[in-house]
Amino acid sequence: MKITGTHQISAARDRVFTVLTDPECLARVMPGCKGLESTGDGAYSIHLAAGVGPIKGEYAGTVQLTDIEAPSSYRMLVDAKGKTGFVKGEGKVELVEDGDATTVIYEGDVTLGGPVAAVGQRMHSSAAKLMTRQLFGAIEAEATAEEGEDVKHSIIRNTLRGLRSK
Amino acid sequence: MPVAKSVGARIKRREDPRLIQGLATYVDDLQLPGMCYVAFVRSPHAHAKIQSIDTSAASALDGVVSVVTGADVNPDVGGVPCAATDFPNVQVPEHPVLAEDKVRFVGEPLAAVVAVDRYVAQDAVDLVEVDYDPLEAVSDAEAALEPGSVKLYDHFDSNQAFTWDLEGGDVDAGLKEADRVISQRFIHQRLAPNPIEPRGVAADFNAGDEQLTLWSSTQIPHILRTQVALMIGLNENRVRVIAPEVGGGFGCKLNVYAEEAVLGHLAKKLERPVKWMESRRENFLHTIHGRDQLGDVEIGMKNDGTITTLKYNVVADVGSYFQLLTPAIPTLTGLMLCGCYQIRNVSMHLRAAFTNKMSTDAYRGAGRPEATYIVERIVDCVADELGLDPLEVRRKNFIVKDSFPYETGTGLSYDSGDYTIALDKALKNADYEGLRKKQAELRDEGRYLGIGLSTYAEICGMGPSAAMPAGGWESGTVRVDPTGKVTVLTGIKPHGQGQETTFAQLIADGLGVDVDDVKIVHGDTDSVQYGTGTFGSRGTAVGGTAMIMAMEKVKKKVKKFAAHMLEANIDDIELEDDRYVVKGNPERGVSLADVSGHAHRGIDMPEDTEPGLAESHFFEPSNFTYPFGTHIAVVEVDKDTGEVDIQRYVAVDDVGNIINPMIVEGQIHGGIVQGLGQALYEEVIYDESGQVLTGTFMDYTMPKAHFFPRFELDNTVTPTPVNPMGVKGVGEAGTIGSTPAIVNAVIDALKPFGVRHIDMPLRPEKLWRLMNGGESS
Repeated sequence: MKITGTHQISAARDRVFTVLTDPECLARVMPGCKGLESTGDGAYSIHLAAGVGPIKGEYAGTVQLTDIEAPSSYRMLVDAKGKTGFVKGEGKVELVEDGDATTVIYEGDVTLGGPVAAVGQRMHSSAAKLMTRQLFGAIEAEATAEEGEDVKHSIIRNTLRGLRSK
Repeated sequence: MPVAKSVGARIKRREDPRLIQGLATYVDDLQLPGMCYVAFVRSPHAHAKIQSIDTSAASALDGVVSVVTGADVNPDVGGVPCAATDFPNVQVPEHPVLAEDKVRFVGEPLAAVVAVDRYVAQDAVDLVEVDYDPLEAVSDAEAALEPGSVKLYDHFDSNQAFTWDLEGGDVDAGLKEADRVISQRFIHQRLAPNPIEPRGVAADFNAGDEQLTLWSSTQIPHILRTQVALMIGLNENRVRVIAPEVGGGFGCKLNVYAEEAVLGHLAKKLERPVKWMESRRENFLHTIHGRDQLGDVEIGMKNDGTITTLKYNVVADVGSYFQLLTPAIPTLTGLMLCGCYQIRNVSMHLRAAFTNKMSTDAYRGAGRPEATYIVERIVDCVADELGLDPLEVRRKNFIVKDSFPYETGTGLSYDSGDYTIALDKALKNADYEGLRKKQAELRDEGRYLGIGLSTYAEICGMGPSAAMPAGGWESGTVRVDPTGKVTVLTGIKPHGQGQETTFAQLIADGLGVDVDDVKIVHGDTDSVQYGTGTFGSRGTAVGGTAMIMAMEKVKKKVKKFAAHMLEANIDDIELEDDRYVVKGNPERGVSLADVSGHAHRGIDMPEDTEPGLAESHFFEPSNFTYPFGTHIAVVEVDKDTGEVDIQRYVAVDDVGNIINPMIVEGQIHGGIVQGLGQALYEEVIYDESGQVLTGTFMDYTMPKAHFFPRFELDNTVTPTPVNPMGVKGVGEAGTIGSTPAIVNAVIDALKPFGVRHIDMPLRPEKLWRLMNGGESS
């Protein structure tokens, strides 16, 4: 499954880049993330819950950030598996300054395997889109927050933020 | 009480009360003391090396009795068998019951968990840690045959499983003499058989008797017994297979599966009864699939519509391993390529490809729906090319009534037929002329009605042993109890075909008893003499004949006893209703119960006659049977939505003599629906990495009752000379006939849009695009 798109976030590029690459921030903004720990060298171990239709499951694995060129681009490799199958993905993220805002350009290829692949295939790309919106909504909230402000995240809140921010 | 003649009567199925009331016993209804439950660890990868399997966490889970891997089981359990490997250039893969070094399709089992209940077993499956090294997979059959493709088997030259060639007449000469030649690619998409009851196995080993009892939802209990005994190393007489109530099979239970041997092995090893019921998701992944051929056809024709040549160049996707009959299935396509037409020059060049998918094998029709689809689409293509009515092209090429038995270009001998009468009757019932008028009128209004014909001939009553991979004969025993009740032991395994009713009808008339006094026993290898099983529309044509022959032997003996008891000449004894009477003196007579009581008492016996009253017969058919018919579908396709509305469905089938019209109609109804399922809805889709994308009923469209109009059925009767009852078989006719009728109808509807062919399934999106200026996706 190809995932590509652009998303504009009303925050400075440095802040956006920090949120995107800081494990603590990422853990807060990633939909369904239940844990994200740095294991050094741009690698993280990740634990997240995700569901498409009736197949809800938890996945554990690794996220590897490579070719990091702060604050403008990096590549990301995801490899996680759980009881309901596995997810493998590879993608590139670019951040372009756009006045006071930042445009995030992303493209990636995600492979699903096992039971999760066999159900609701028609819904996979729309589920991915929804999760992406939530993600960017949350990133914007984090990136525009005052220092020390406690940003509240929830699926609905972040989806609405994602829809608003475009 | 006089017995009304029951053959030919619409007797309600005797099976149904127990099915409707929930009184039937399926594998999943079995509960044995101490029973454990088995769940399988299955590969999520289409192609991967198994680096390691860690079962420690699973084994430690409370309630888990045993966890076994391929390394534990394979030394003691032989591989999954294939009975059809005699092919040119064949490469036969090893097929271990649990994958050990490598997995080759999603769903392949590699470990089994035994636990005290189903839930613990499933939880333990999640705790088995498998370290896979994923490999590139190939899921496209043509790509798999390309040089340089990733290979499923390192030690094989390529992914080519085998080749097969068939040629009748002279295809090149036929192409030369043709006025025109057209070609067309046809895709027969992969289908999931989807019986309402998935597979299930239970096993119990009695160490005291050294006896394994294996319950399996199977169509072939005896063949399964032989194979499982060989696989797990028990004497065959120490294995008893029971196929209890079987909730549909459609060919997918005409097989020997890994789970059957693993359960037998586990029961023996653990000395505890074990059970496994397949989930629907497992069923989509690891029960055989049907069809999956793609091929190119070249057709030579004369300007008057005569078809001179049919050349079929095809790739069959056999999946990753051979199951029981995998390689044999596409060859049936070749044999039936000419359908009901006199096509003298015909050829098929088949290449079979291994891919990282589940194996294909027999699914209702098994190779023949592909043939019928091709030839029935071709006839329409020829009509389209020449601007003729598809009806006229059919008439032009029909094998004529006087030429039976007819030798086809593919080497078969069609037993009997009269294709014109079935066609004429269907045209009349449908009001074909009226439909064409209506079609023209509606087109003027911007509405798209389509009329599709399918004039099929199919091969049934499988079959002469010489032409079958694993024997084609069938067995029957008829026993009369001392009280005159009759028990039939049949080697077939009915699972929806209604032989507990039709066989009882035959016996009732044949021996002069009431239908309710006849019991049909099947599916237990300790009760029933060896048999072949139910598949290939053979149950009645072959199994019924074996029973009739045994019954005739019984009847001969009954007459001998009756003559002795009535002090008459045996040649003067005749059956009148329920009494054996002396010709011309009907008040002198005895009933079957009188005779059987006498025969079992054992004194005052006729000379040279054994006591008792039971006979067996093993029937070897001299030929296949060839049912035929005409199906006419009338559809309207909605330009705004692309949806197909089936307005009428008219079928005239000729399946030879009919024992119970209601059961024949039921078989045809189900068959039509399954054929329409392929035409319009169904498709097993693997993505390019070999993942199954259609693994639930949300993703795989099954036909539902409200999709269809009331079917308008009728029949003609052309008995077969192959068996004494003159029956041909009806299990697959509907499926074989209906798919092309619907596709032809939809393409006919879309003619104003310049459409010549559309590949199945004809989903609304495809049709909408074609009708609204886009390309078919």
